[in-house]
Amino acid sequence: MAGPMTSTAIAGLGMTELGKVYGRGPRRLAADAVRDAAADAGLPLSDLDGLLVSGGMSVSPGIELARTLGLRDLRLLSEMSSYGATAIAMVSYASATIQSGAASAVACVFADAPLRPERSAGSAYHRDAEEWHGLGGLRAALGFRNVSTYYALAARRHMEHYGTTSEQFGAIAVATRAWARGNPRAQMREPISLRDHQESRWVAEPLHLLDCCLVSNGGIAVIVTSAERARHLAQPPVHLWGWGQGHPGRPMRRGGDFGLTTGAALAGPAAMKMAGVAPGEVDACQIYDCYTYTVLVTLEDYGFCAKGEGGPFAASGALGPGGTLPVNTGGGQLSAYYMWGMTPVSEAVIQARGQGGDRQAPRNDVILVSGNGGILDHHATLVVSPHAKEQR
Amino acid sequence: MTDGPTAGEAAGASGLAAIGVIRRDGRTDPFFDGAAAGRLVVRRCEACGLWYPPDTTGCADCGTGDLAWAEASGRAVLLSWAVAHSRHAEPAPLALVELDEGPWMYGRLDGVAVPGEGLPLRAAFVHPDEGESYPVFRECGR
Repeated sequence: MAGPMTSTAIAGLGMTELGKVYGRGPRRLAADAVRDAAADAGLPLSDLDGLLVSGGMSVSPGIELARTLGLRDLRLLSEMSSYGATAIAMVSYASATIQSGAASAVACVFADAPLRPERSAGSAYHRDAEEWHGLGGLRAALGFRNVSTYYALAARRHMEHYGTTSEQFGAIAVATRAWARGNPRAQMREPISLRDHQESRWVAEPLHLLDCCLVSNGGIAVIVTSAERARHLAQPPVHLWGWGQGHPGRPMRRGGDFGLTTGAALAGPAAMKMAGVAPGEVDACQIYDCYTYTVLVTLEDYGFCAKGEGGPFAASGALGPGGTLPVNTGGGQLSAYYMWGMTPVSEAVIQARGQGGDRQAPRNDVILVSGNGGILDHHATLVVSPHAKEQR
Repeated sequence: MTDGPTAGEAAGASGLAAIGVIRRDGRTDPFFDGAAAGRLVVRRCEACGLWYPPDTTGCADCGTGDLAWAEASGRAVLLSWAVAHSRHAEPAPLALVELDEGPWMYGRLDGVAVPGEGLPLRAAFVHPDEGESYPVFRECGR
């Protein structure tokens, strides 16, 4: 039986086609991703005894996914949501469940299909109406019709306080696109310049189009099991060294730190403490990049640079290919695919296995992954490595 | 259409005419009653004295779920701002403001030429022909 010190690993990664993938709903996409992850691990589907499910903007795959997959006698089955923090939360709960002995092989899946062939990508996350109801309706009527408007306020506050500039956000967009060139799965692989960023249309000032993530259809799943079992499966194990969450619940009133500090300041140190690493030991980061600004503020909160120094840090070229801290090596949500928290998790698995091909980071001993949900309300951090934790 | 001599023009110029019709939902009627009368009505915890935005349902400080409706002064300062762009509408100047009483509110700016952190604002009210009245924030002294 598994004891409390059992160490755990990601043994399988499954990804459907990502992007403008039509004709399959979220449940089908989720089922395809789980089948692919199990095959990747070399594990029969019938060996799964746990399933954690999450969805995005469209209808969730639901726990009915278990029946779709024909999974029987599961010992763990639930749908989860902490928005963009969910993927890491699923992996953490799967790991803790395995450590407790209550399950032994848990699939964690996200799937979403917000894109429709006849509509623009932006409309998938945009509200429009002739009539609005109540205070929430009033706010939308006044112009808060998508999440970008709130992130624009957060970004502007950071700019006002610390002197952060749009060009510094642009440096993140350019670096991320440069990484995407090496990722065959990336939706956007054409190189971009800082000028392209500055000239791209406004979504919500101060955010340009190239500050904003893509919209994608698809599904991604990972299989979590004990490190011991993972060693005997088909893929190199990706060991889970540490995780943490942060939900600051900051009051929206005088003295609040909206836009300046996020839940990453709670979750990051917790995950790194569990992993036994400091920011200086991290070789690469996969950061939830719903917006360029999110990357900048998250890196500050994790301690990769001082608070307020995220702009100069990004503009230094540190984050791109050849930089000192490779960030979003697959092109992230900005340039590769937007599978919420599964975008950074999937790239972390690929990098930890050394399967990054043209985009493989030069060192991959310690990889830090982030998830961010709501309007900077929810955060989760994961630290992974190709090496077993106890071997350090 | 709005309170004040130039507000009607400003409302037209800033695209407020096209935002759609606002209906009350039965949960926040005092806010809309206040707006109709040109008053900014928000929430206040009578137990601990803290003020909250009008869509708050409980006091984060003392934990009570029983917040009163209370009239704020309407004075505020600008904390952050954004301009929402859309294919279908005029650019919308948006703001996060701090009311004099302490709480933050999301809102819309009206006629603010040069936004900046700390800019003094006051609530003004738009009274459309159809639907509910609502507040916008304008530069103090204009």
